Amino acid sequence: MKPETSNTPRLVNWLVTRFIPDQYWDELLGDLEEIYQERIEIKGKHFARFMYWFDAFHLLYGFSSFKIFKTQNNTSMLKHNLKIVIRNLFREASYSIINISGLAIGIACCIILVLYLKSELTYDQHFDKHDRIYRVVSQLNSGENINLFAQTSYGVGQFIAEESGQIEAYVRFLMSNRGYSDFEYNGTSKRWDDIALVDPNVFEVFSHEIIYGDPKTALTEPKTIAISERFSKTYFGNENPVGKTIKGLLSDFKITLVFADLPDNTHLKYDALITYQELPTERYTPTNNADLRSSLWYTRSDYTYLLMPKDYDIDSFKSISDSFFEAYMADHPDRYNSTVDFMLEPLSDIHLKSRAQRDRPHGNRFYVAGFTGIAIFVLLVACINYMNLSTTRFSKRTKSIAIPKVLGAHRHQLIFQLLTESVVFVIIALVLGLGLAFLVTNYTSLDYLFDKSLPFDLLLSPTAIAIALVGVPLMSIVAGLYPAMAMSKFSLVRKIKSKNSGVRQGLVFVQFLVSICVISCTLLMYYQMKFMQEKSLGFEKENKLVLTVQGASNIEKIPVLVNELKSHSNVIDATVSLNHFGRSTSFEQAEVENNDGEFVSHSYNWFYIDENFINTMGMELIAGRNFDPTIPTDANHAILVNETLVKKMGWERPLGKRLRYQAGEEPSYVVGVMKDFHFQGLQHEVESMIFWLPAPDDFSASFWTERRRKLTTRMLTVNITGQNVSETIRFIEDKWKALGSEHAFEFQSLDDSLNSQYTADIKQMKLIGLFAGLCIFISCLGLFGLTAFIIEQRTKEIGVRKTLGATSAQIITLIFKSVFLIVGIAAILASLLSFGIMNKWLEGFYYHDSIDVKAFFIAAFFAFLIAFLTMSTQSFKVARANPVKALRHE
Amino acid sequence: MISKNLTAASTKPIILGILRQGSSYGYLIIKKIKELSGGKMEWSDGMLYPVLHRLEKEELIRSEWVMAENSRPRKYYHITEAGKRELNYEHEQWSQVNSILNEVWGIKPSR
Repeated sequence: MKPETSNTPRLVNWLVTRFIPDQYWDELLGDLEEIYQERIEIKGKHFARFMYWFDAFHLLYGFSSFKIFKTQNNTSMLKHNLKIVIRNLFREASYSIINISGLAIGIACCIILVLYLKSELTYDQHFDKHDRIYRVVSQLNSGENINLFAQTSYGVGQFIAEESGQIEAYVRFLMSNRGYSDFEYNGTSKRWDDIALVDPNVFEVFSHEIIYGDPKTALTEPKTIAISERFSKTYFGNENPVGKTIKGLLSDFKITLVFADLPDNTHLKYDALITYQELPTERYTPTNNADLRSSLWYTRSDYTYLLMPKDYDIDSFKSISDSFFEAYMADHPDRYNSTVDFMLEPLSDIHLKSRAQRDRPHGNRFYVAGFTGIAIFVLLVACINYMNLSTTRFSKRTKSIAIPKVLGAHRHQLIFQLLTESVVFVIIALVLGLGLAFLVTNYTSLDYLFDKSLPFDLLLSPTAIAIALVGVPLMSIVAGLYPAMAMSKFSLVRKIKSKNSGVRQGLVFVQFLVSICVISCTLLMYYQMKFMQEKSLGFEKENKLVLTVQGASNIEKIPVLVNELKSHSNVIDATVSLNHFGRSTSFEQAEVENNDGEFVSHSYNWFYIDENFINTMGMELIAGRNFDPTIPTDANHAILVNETLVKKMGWERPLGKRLRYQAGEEPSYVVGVMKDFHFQGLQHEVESMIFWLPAPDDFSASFWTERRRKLTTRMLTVNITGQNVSETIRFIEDKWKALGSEHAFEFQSLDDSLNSQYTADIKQMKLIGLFAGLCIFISCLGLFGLTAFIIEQRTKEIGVRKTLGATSAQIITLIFKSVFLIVGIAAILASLLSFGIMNKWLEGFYYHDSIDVKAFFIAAFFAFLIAFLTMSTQSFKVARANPVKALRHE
Repeated sequence: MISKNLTAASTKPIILGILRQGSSYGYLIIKKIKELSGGKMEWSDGMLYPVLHRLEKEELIRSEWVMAENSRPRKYYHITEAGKRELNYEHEQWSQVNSILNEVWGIKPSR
């Protein structure tokens, strides 16, 4: 019977089964596991895992037939080899430094990229049940329009769970940053961006590391809040805050639990979780009524997660979705022939694979693939570099290699000696590389570019140690075997000493191929970013300040504020909208009249604006008129549409076309058509858009409960001249304060908030640029080695040529010719390669610049320049040297 | 800590001696050695198992899988008659070494 070894490190078990005869597995793994369990109880899991690795390696050694260290002869030979290695290391100090530093930089880059990739590829896997948790996404199919949304109605979780017996639990997350963002305790007040309202069973489904409190009961009572360690420290220092009450904007909350801060690699980010009971009962425990059915179609507010049985087949969810749709949604009067499919996204796939809209920022698979490629290439370039430099060093040592051979040393002994050197160099480089990676990840702002901190302790995991233990010999062999084999073979020594250094030229070729490719990709990414920032969006994004006005009492004061603001010479205009333009729009479907006068289903984005919006934003009206508040029917019934909607509907005469939510209802009608503008990032195609003019706010109506009055917000966009900006902002702030608002003055520049859509791409571009620079640097080290080698081999030839009257320029051309040919061919191939890669990358942007061939020329020129500079220091010295010295060479 | 060479040389009598007391399995043997030596002699798995398997090949010990309730199956080792004889022989050898060493410790240094 195979022993149960499920908790023990799997990699170790695999190694044991791989290298130890199968008749011993059961016994060894069984005993190892027993020791492991005992150690867990005494000294904890980490120690037990570490010792498991340790014991397993002892076992492997005990059973191995690898006798190299077991005989007296081999030990002394090893000592002798090490002595020679250390002697050579110091004798050829400059070469050793170049050799080791190139490899160390390569290893450091590789380590940093591995840390990044590990973080990207293990998103949300810190939740114990991550393989059973799925997010429900809803796909709205209305005519030709198909839209996938990350959020669903608050009712989906409960009713879909009732529809299917297989769902073990559901949890809703309502990410709220209004009303639940400000907390105050004992004079300390802070605004938090990530606060969620969640179902009380959240801790059963999503495992957290609990510091204080009982997860089973934490959120079962109303007005309770579970907070993160960071949140807790802000208000309470190191005290246990459980049982204390913290003041929120709407009410006080009792702290019931403190959980450890979430890791960076989670798509669900929150600093505090408030019980869902905070919301009205009809949301917390909805009943199957008209409101709920309507919300299933129109409300997309919550992230809904389901806990499914182990190994659940996600395709089988289709039937649950269909029966749910039939039971709760199909009979809705405002359906407009649309259908909705609910689908599951595995939790750990959301970050890289989700295509849902209106979601928090996602990762990008393209970058993951790109960085994997770069990690491999950087290491490859570093190894190639090492091979080139080593061969150069060894070729200067032919005598010390030849003499032992003549005295009867076997070829394998020579290989062993040279490989020892390789192992020593790789180990030194590994230690330096680790140190460098540690310094870079901890003391530079690289975290900012990666958008996450890279926990260095990941490298202390047994898997990483195992990779290092396998990696060092592997790299030593990859980097050291060619020079060792070449030098240990006499005929090859002659070959190496000949002018034909084909293999090494090939290696330099690969280095330049990779480097030029990375440089041109970086340049093309830069062009695209520039294109996006400079492309006309169809409105003026410059010099716009967006102020968040919260609370009904403040909103009522907006007209007064705007009048006062306009008194300043630098304030041109202002407009009020419901949402932050360029950041979020609402999405819905309705019946729209076609050319034949029939109503057909159409889905579109919509946005509430006022009559000043078009002018303030610098948009262009190409047909019809703007909203006019003096016409009473304009409010909620007049609509402005964009060109895309006109095209999609095929309207010949768009003005007067109607839109309605249901038959018999008074329809809205098109009064104007706007030139298309980009209300989403340039990654996305322009979609249908409708602007509405809302009816004037009447906060005295019964709809406006105290809670709603407090939470409601409007965006006031102020158009300024761009002169004396800071003085203008101070003026606006003063006027804001004079209104007596209880909320702090909060504003954002529209330009900044629109550009933030490209932040991730810009950061990735900078990172790739950084690694491109390193690739080139390492390649230069290799080229330096190659030049030295060429000069070493041709010293006598150069001497003869000079004696016969060759000029320094001719000598330099002689040395440069072969290398420039290599760089030239590499440049052509690299251009083709990066053309293909960037074409694929640009597909991710709906609006993109065409590939500018200038990038390839710049990259190639840069490579030539670098090659020239690297080689020139040595070449000029040789070209100018006294030929007599050269002729005396050897 | 007892030196590696001495530990390696005494492996056979120690294992046979422990098994003469009663049957045992790998991990228990390691624990017992640690206990008997007061922690001065520490054996790793890598050392023990190859020796156990060698002793089994030499028919000095034999093994069998024991299935017990509430625990995993364990491979127990028992000493054979040949093992007992070997242990007596080892005992004699080590006693001789011990007596020689005692003599040596007794020799007074020459001036």
